[in-house]
Amino acid sequence: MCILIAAHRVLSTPPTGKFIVSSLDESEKPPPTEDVKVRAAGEAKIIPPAPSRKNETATLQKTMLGELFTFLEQEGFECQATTKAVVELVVQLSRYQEEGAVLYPRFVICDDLDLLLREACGAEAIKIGDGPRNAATMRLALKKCAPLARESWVAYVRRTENNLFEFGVFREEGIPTAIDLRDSIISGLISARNSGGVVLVSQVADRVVELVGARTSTLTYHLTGVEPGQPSPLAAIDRLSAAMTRDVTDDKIKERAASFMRSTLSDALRRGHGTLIAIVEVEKTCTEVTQDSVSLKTSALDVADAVRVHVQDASERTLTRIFAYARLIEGMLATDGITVFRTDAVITHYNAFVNDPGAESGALPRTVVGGARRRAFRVLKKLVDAGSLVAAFFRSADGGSEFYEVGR
Amino acid sequence: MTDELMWRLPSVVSLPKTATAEQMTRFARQLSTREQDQVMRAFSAGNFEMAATFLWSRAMAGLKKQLATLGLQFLGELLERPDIKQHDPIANVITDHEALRLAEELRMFGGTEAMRLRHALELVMHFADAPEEGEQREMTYEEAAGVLRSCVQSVLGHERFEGAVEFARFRHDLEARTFKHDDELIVQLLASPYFFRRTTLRVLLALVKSEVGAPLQHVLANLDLLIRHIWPELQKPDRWMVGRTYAEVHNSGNKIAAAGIGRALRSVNGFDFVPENLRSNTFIQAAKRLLATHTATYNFYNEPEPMRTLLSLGTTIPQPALADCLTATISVRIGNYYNRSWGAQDDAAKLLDRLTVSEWKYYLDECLAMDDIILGKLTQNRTLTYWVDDVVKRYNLASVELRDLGVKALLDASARGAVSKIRQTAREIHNRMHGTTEEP
Repeated sequence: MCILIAAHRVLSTPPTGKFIVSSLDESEKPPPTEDVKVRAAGEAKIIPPAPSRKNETATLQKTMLGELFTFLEQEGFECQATTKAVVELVVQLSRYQEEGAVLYPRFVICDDLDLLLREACGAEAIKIGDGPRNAATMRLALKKCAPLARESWVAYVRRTENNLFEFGVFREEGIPTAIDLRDSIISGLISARNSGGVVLVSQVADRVVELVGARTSTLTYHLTGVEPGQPSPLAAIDRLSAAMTRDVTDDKIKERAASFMRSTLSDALRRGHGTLIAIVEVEKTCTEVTQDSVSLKTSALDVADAVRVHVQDASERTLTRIFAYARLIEGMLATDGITVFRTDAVITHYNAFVNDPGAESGALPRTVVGGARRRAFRVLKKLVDAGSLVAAFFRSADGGSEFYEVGR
Repeated sequence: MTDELMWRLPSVVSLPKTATAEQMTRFARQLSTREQDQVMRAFSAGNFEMAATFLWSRAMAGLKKQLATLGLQFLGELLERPDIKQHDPIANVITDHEALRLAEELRMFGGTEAMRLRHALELVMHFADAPEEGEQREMTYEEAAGVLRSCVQSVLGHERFEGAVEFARFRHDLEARTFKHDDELIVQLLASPYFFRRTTLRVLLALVKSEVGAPLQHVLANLDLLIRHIWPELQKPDRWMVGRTYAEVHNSGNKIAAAGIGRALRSVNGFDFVPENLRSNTFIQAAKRLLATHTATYNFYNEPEPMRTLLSLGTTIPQPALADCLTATISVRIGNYYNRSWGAQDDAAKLLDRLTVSEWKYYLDECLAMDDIILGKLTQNRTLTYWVDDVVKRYNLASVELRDLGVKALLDASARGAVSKIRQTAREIHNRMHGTTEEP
């Protein structure tokens, strides 16, 4: 689901009279029934009364309220005060900064924190404060918890029995191969039906906020000018992770490698300025992509192997390797160019560039609006259609995502 | 009745009660005639340690070979030892004590044979230790004959020891089809002694971690069915085991398994038994290491270090780890047939001193009845003295209010120092949980 939101919208009806009266603030607006007399070149003319003029101010809060109320109601939070507070949270989270630094906290709204922690294997809930159930308390929760809710820490806002918001942070296990909170909710591991609601609110890309409810709904707000119909960036990452691990032979390793990819990519792409990823078959090479690239040659990064070793011998050493791989992948995705993954979760090239024959020859019109990255993605899609690539992924700087694979 | 549908207990090789070592040796069908002759010569020459050690190593080799047919990874999951890999040589990775525990749990022999074999293990390990300077240590004929009898009756007396075959059939059923609540096997399982239900639960949880695809789906469905039925009577350590497994598969990213166990836990409101974190695993691993040391060679010298490690993990033991920690610590405290490790006593006492009444109550009410290791020790005279003085009287355990009347009777007898009553009650508790009427 996608909603386009303008931050500020003025409705103005064109006047039918000779003179245009620009929109005014409410305080400056003349009484609508009063005739307006204008004297020009010694001639007096009666101007008929202007038609009644709508002059409204729409706020994000007002625009989102109805939609969010319906969503939260379905998720077990039938509460006007909670809805208003969550609207505040969504708007703030779309691009949250503290002391000039951009933060990406995850917030979970829930009723039964204890059960949530056990079902999601969370731990060490630390209460920071509480207050009346309203937007002001949500702002306070954001201010106090957002700087803490980094890496494996998640901020929570719990609705108490006495109509308060209690807020604080708790810790996830933080292992890249583990099922993270979003996955736990989406996979139905959280039993929201018996214990009130659970909704995870997080920024998934710049000015894109996703709300994932435990009762099967997901709502994504793009607070940018993207086209309607855009899927959630994380939905594209889910498909991307599945494609990257398609040919990992051991099913147990495949699932964990996909989990690792999902958490690493969603974390990396949220911070990045946009990226391109190409996926090739295990036994194939795609020279159109790899000829101008940094090749990892014999040192190709084998994520499945790192996961396999950790599953077989879970130790600090093997876990450190997995964390190190996550950071390295993050670095590769942050460079310009395309990162090349194989379908068995091996990274072979990064910083790759493709030629755009249409653009070079000028034979093709520049039908694709956008920068170099989007044009390169168009080339990758053609390579997918030609069977040279299995799939391609594009993430723009404004959070728009597209995953393209054979047959799509 | 239970045996017919689940897995049968292999028959015990019957030996005359008055049989001599020579006569018993002839029943050891797995030994060649030449080996039998060598054993008899060792007995005749008074080389009892040599005979007992040889018999023990052959029995353990046969037992482990059978266990290996079930797959090392599966055995590792049952033992909660993730370090064991599928292709490891079993003799290198599974201790004799663990092999006995597995064999008893999988009903490769009965509880009585298991107790006798555990005693034989203590004996062989004790004499394998280098004696202290000036110490005279010689195994007697009776001791060696006891080892011979246990080994022959349980393992070496069988033409072909195939103790795991019956269990393997049962396990195959659990992963090959989804049972309904009125299937005969389920009906019989639910009517069976606690031991069977717990073993089935442990097997299913081990399979959850080792299987994929269709077998995993069957296993999860059967686990769900079992948990719904047995949860109300399930003892807390076993509930924690289910919760720990949920946390483990969740942390390892196994969504299908997590969803399956989660569904079962939700149906019984069992999420209280999912540990807040896996810190308890650290305690459990330390306790297992201590117990492995306690049952291995040179245990009197080696116990202080793992005992100190366990003590140093923290002042409060997480409840999911309490059963393992107390089994190991009480084992150190009351020792074995030959005495106890003096160097480990201070730390063992410190750990027990920290326990609250409610923690003791939890162990006594929820764990002791299924604690075969401690119950086995309570059938031995030497350990009884320490049990009475350093455990029951020191912590005034007879005054703890308990639900389990069998355990209550055991503690009352212990407080009175009534040795024969302690032994009898310990046997009765063991038999009640295992559904046997055997006389160890």
